Amino acid sequence: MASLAGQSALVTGASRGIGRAIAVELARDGASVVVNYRSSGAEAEDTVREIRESGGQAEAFAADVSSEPDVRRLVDFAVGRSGRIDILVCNAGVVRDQLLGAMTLADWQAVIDVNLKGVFLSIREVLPHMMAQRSGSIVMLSSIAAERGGRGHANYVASKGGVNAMMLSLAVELAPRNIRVNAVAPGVILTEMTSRIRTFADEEIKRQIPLKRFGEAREVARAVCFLASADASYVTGEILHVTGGLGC
Amino acid sequence: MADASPEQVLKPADNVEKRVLEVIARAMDRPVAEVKPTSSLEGDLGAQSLDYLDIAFSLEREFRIQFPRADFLERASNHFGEENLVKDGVITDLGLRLLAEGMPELDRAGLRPGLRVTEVRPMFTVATFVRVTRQLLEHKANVDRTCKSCGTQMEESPSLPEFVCPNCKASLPLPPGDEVLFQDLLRVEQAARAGGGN
Repeated sequence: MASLAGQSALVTGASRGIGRAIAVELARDGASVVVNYRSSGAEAEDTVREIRESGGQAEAFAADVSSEPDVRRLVDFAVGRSGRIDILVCNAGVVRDQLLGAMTLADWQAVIDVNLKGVFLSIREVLPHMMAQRSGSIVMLSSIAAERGGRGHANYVASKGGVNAMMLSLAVELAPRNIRVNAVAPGVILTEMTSRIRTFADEEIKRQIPLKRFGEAREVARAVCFLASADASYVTGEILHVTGGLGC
Repeated sequence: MADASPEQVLKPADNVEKRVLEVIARAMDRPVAEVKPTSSLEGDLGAQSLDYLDIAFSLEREFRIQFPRADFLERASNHFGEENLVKDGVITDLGLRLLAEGMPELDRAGLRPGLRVTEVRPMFTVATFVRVTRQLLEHKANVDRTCKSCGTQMEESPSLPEFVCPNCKASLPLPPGDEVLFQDLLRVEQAARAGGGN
C-alpha cells in the first residue's frame, strides 16, 4: 500500500482528530509528512511519534494558517525537507458556533480566517512549487454541513461553502499544470470537535445516517489518501462525501 | 547559494537576459532557441494567464526577487486615477505616455491613440520580463542590508525573497515588485515632466 512512496505531503491542522488521521494514513502510504499545528505542540509531536514508530517519516511545524508570514515559513520548511511538495491537505479548521443574531464579528472572522483564508494562503504558497513540478494534489476538507441547512453555524458553513466553490474554480484554473484539486466532505465523525454536539443528540443523529453510525477519522483519511494518490489521477473538481449516506 | 555582492547580482546584461530566456522557455515548455527577446508572449509563445503566473514564480525562484503581480496600468491607476488612464476601455494620452516611459521595450508604433486596454498585454515581449528582472535585481543590490535591530550585515535568504540577520535572525522582506516598479515609473515620469516633456 505504498502508493505515495517518495512523495512529500503537508497537512495543516494535523495535531488532532481528522488531521492527525490524515497525516498518519498518508505516511502509512509512504509519503513524508509535515504535521502542521498552531498551538497543540505536544499532540503534534505525538502524531509525529506515531508515524515514526510505524516506520514513516514526519516532522511537526507550528504555523497559524491565517497568518501570511507563518504560512510562507511553513511551506518553505516543507519544501526545504525534500525540495518538493506533492500533496497539500487543507485540514486546519475551527468552529465558533452561535446563532447568527448573537454571533460576534470576532467569532465570524475567526472561522473565516482559519477555514477559508487559511486555505487560500496555503494553496497560494505551494503553487509556485507545484507549478514548477508540473504536478500536485490539493485536497481541501469541506463538510456535509455546507450542503444542508442547520442552526448555529452560519460562519462555519459559509467557510466550507467557500471551500467548495474555491475547489471547483481551482480545479479548472490549475489543471493546465497537472495540479488536481478536490475536496472531502465528512459527515459526523468521532472527534473532539464533534463531541460536544454528539453528547446531547447521539441517537437522534444516528437515526438520520443510513449506515446508522458515526464515521471514524481514519475513514475520512483514507478518502484523502485516495484523492492524493495516482489512483485518482483523473479526478479533479470533485467533492468526495464521507458521510455514511447522510444527505442522500 | 552564497550571498551575492551588489556587483555579482548585477551580472553582465546578457547573463540576466540568457537566464530569463531559459526560465521562460522552461515555463512555456519550449526549446530555448524558440524564445527570443523580441518574442511576444501571447502571439509567438502562446502564453495564457496561468503562463504569466508560472513565469513570475519561476523568475522569483531563479533570481530571488518579488515579481509584480498587478499589471502596469493597474499599478499606475492607484496614483493617477483609473479614469485618467483608461476611458471606456481606451487608453488616454496620459496612459500612453506612461506606457512609453514605463515600458520602453514596447513597440512605439503600437502605442497609438485609440489603443484599447485589452491590447496592451499582447504587446508584452520576453524583453519586458528581462527589463523587469533587471530593475528588481538593481533594487535588490541597493537595499541597505544593515540589520535595524543589531547592526549586523544581513544575508540573502537561500529560499525566500528576504534578507536575514545571521546574528539576531531578524528578517527584511524585499519590497513587492509592484511597488518597486511603480516608484521607478514615478521617477521617470517626474523627470520627463521636469525636462519639459509634458
